[in-house]
Amino acid sequence: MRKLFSLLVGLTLAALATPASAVLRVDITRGNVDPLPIAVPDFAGKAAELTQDGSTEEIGRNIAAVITNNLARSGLFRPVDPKAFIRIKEVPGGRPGFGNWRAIGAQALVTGQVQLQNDGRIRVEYRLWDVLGESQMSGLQYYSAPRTWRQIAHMISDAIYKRLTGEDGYFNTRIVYISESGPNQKRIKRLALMDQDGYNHRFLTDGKDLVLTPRFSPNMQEITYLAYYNDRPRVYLYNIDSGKQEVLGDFPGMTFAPRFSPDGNKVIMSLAQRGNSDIYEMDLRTRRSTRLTFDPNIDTSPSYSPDSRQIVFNSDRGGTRQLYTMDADGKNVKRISFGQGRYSTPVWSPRGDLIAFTKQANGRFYIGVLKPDGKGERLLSESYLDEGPTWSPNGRVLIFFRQAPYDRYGRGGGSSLWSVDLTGYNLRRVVTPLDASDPAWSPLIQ
Amino acid sequence: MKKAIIISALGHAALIALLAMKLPFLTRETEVIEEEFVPVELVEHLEEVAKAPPPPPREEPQPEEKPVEEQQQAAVEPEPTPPDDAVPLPEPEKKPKEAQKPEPKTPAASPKRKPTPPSRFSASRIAALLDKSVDQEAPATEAPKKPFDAAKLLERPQRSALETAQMAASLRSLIRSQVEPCWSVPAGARGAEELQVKIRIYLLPNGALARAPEIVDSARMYAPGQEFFRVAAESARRAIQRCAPLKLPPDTYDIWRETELIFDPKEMLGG
Repeated sequence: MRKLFSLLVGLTLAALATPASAVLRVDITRGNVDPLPIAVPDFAGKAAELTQDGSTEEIGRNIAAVITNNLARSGLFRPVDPKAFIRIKEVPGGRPGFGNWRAIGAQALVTGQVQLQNDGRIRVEYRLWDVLGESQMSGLQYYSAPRTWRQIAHMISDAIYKRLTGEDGYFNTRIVYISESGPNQKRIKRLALMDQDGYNHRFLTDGKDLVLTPRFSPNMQEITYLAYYNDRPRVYLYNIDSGKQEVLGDFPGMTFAPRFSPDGNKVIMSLAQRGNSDIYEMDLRTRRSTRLTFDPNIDTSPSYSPDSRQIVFNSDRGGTRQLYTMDADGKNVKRISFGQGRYSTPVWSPRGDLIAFTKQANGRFYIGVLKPDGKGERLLSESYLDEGPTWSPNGRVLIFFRQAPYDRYGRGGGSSLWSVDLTGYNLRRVVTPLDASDPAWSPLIQ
Repeated sequence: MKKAIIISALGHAALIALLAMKLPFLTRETEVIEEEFVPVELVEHLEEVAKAPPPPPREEPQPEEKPVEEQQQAAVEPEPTPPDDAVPLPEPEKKPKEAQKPEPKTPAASPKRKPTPPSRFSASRIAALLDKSVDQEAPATEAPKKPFDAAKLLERPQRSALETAQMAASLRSLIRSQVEPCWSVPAGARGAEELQVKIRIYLLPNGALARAPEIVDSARMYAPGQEFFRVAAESARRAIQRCAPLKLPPDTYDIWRETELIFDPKEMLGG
């Protein structure tokens, strides 16, 4: 009896005491920032299923290539070389043989297929697999016209990115910028639009007028930009879908186009009147402007916070050009940049946590970020001339333009677009047909 | 009579305690299944958006209302079946693993209890019994036999608390040095200070995983708005799966058999 009793006591104690005391605890605080190895084999399709944009087999191959390219350029993923898995065959829509993929070092796997529907549309399905955990992480299917395969590929890239990073993607987006060509004295500047990966490139203006600083509206349909008309700066609203443009107004003394408020109802801009530049806001519905700063010094480059409650701008009221924030009604002005050098073109991140800027110090230009309270300044790029950052819609990547120095014969000086990750890694050239400046990144196309 | 009541009460207590320990696994099991069944959703908006660039499509929103698509939706509903057929496959694989769980669980606890009540013959005896069960398990896996023999040779010496602490410290750095290179920190996530992930692992004497690593706060993984935690937890789990088997001294198996790894990306992301 006694033995039984103590056995039970022992059992109870053993059971109760288990979790807390017996476990060896190890803190893991360091890791690596290596990109995640991911395999994206061609999406399955049939050579005999023909559409105007090729067979479903070709479309499947093209979709996999676009996804691979997107993920690689993000710097967060390392697509496995297709040569490594050329012999691995999977049943479309089935469960992969994970061992094969683990053997070639893939930690994530994307499979998919393209099928032609009776109505002429295509059905595209993808699945994202956790190779080590041997489970499906996400899967979606899309129905659309075959010619939209590229956009489907971007949407799948965004879904994969979101599932693996927790953040929204930025692949189904466009970039508007100023395309430049011709000799330095007579530069032709045209407004140009392209997909985030450089495809579907087109010019929106003919190059007769000098155009500058395009900005996307939050609804994606409109762009504002500045053009010189009879040597006077004029602000245009350009509708991407209809191709129509309208004049928002003549603004003497304007050097940057207005930026939209996050709700798209207002624009904010700097205007010089009687030699003094100040910040104004314009309601797009009533076209009425309100002056927000009354300082005798130069205030320019305003940008709204994503909640529209604050505005960041630059001003030389402190002696040198520095960054300031203020409430949306112009009150509560605070200086936020205190480093050496001059700060300009501040842009508030769409996720609200950082402000990107151009910095000029010691004869060099930098793109950097700091927190809205002015702390945590970090410089992400440096060159002879880096300028004009614009945020990806998820606040994770910046695109800016870089101008090369002129040589002693006056040659060079070409400008190009570059992207850099928030961490300062993954600096990459964004390929454009001609020279490029003043980029603006669109919101995510929903 | 009284004794009988006491015994019965204690018996119940023991049962409840054991259940309390095992229940989390049961709930976890269902979660794992949920994870597998990610439904393939319909995304119909694409066409309209995609139409936007080439022609000037003023009628954008219209395609959405096309009845054709609704028909297709219905037609497609059965479509997920092939994948579903494929997905349940893991279930049979996982169940045997699940069944093994309770066994290593209890022994993992007991050896540590051992030093505290040295007089309790029952606890140590249970531990001894359970140790055997573990020993039997080991050869079943393709464990390299050498370290295992070494464990037998050393015959698990009684250690002082200080010795145990010293060994634990060196084991920690040994585990750290192996796991850290395998861990790809989720870069750029927001709220890094709240992304600490605790993962419990159960190891065989050869350092291989006795079963899938357990995310302690697994409920949070599927909570809405916790995408960053989920990503962090998955990255930590991948690190362990990549690194296994761990190379650890067999003579201290009783210390590292059950280990909790606390992955904290704060230091990496804080800057």
